[in-house]
Amino acid sequence: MFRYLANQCTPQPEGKSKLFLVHPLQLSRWLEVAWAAAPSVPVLGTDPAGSQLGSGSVIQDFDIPETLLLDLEPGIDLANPGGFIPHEDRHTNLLLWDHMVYAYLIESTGIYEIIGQILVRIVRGETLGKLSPETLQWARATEELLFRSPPLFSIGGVESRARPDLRIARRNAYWRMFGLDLPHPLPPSSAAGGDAQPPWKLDIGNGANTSFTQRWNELLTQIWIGYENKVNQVGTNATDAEYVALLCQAIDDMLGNRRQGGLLAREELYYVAALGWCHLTVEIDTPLVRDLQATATNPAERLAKLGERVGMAPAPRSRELFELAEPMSALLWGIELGLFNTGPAAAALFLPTVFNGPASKLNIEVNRIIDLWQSATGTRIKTATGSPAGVPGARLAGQPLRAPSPVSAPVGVPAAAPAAVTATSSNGSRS
Amino acid sequence: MPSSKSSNSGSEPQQNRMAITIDPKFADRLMAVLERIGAAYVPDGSDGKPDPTRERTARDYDVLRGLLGRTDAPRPLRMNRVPSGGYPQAKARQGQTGGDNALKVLDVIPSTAECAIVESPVQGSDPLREEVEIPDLTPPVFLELETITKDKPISRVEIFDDKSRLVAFGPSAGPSL
Repeated sequence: MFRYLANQCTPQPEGKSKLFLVHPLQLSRWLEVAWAAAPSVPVLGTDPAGSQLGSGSVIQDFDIPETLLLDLEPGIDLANPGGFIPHEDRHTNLLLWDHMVYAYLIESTGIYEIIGQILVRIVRGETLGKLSPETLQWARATEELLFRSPPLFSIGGVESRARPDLRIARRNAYWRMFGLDLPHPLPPSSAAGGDAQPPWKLDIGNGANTSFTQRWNELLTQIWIGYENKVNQVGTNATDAEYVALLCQAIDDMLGNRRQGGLLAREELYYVAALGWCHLTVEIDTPLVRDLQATATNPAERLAKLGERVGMAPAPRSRELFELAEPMSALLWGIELGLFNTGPAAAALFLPTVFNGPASKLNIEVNRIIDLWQSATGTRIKTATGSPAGVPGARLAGQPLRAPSPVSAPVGVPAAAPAAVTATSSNGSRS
Repeated sequence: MPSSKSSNSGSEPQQNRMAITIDPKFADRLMAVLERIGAAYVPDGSDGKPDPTRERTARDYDVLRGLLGRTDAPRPLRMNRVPSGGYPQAKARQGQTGGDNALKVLDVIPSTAECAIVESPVQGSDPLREEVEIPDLTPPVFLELETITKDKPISRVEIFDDKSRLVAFGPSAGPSL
């Protein structure tokens, strides 16, 4: 959400930091406008408009009346972050917020806990040294937007006495949607001990998609079979586009069951916005990153360096998690919009639009998702295939399980670290 | 006298057959040739034309990426549906005629844009499509609609360049009655 705005700042990419200078009240109000603008997105896929949110009317059910919306005009001026411009020029047009999986993957890096600890250091003392005015503006906005209760009656108002801890509330949403826990434990201040079940798994009945990972892995495997055989016209071809479509429908139905009537739509908007803000903080060398000497060439390394300053370590596979978040978000929205619910349409996941033609953006992103997912989770999708020339019966090794990393593994440390998504690790916790 | 084909005979001793190997360089060249033949093969019926379903699905995905704000995706444009006749100068400049309504584009259209395709949903059938040329990109640009009258909703607007690449898209809109 906030990265959508940041992408419109100039010049790119360094202009993205201008968003941290916008008043947090304007940013909060902008979420309201973004929510209300959702019905004007073009009709995509086979499902009725708005059905990807569980109800075609969920936006109108929860939005502010237009007159009040105009009273709450955000007026964000990206050219002059301290200014205000009237609504005719508002920077909100057609947008859809990222899928809940984006928030899950970004939070799995441990970024929320690390940024929380940095913020604690900034507001409580001077242990981080001299900070620039821009970093202090970032800290003020971060505290207001992420670490205090949202404004009353706002669309982001998903914190109350009924669900007082946003950390637990987010874990509850991730568990219901994907049957997945974050790989790091709750910090001691949030952990509610004593119960056999973690607090985010209480009171959900049967409403958790515990088979999501199994279906997702199967879908990626079937897509890869199609990808491998895309020009195979003579040999055995196990590609089955209809089965790929069935898997897409199964995931569509599974996620749709959790969204019935518009459930989790407001939560998704707010969680995605919050984790997007965290992502933006390490996406480039922002003032905070520079002040804490954490400059690097990618978000994962910046996060690791920021974590070092406060004695915390991010997830071992943060790089993959950061890179996976955007394409997996788009693909899951595509599935929930019903883009791939028929065999011929599902074939677009692995076949170019023209036989033997150049790969479409969809083909490229899906292939990348497979690489990153198997590297992040340790689940091998691209199985060994083919035979080396002249050695009948022998099998070629598939590509390595893990994506290449720019950072060399220390001597004595195995290259294959524990799975970032499925297993518990120490990310986001004190090292 | 031994046959010249004796080395391929099935009557050779087992150990001789096991000793037959393929020269790795030859095998590599053979594989390269086979791959080129495979890559050049076009199945009957495809004729090098895009598959319409896959093309539409891939384009939908591109629009979705644009909606999510990806920087390398087609650009979302703000548009308002307006009655025809309220913009005679722009209409004359663009050489457009007819129609009882139009789409006013509020943002700057990409400079490579050539035409727009506007769709209106039809119950139980393919959507109604109207192609609108964009001869002049000077703002404000109006897309004059003739077939899609003001009482029909708009499900999507796609803007293409001269190579038929999707460069921008617009919103859905209800009837403008």
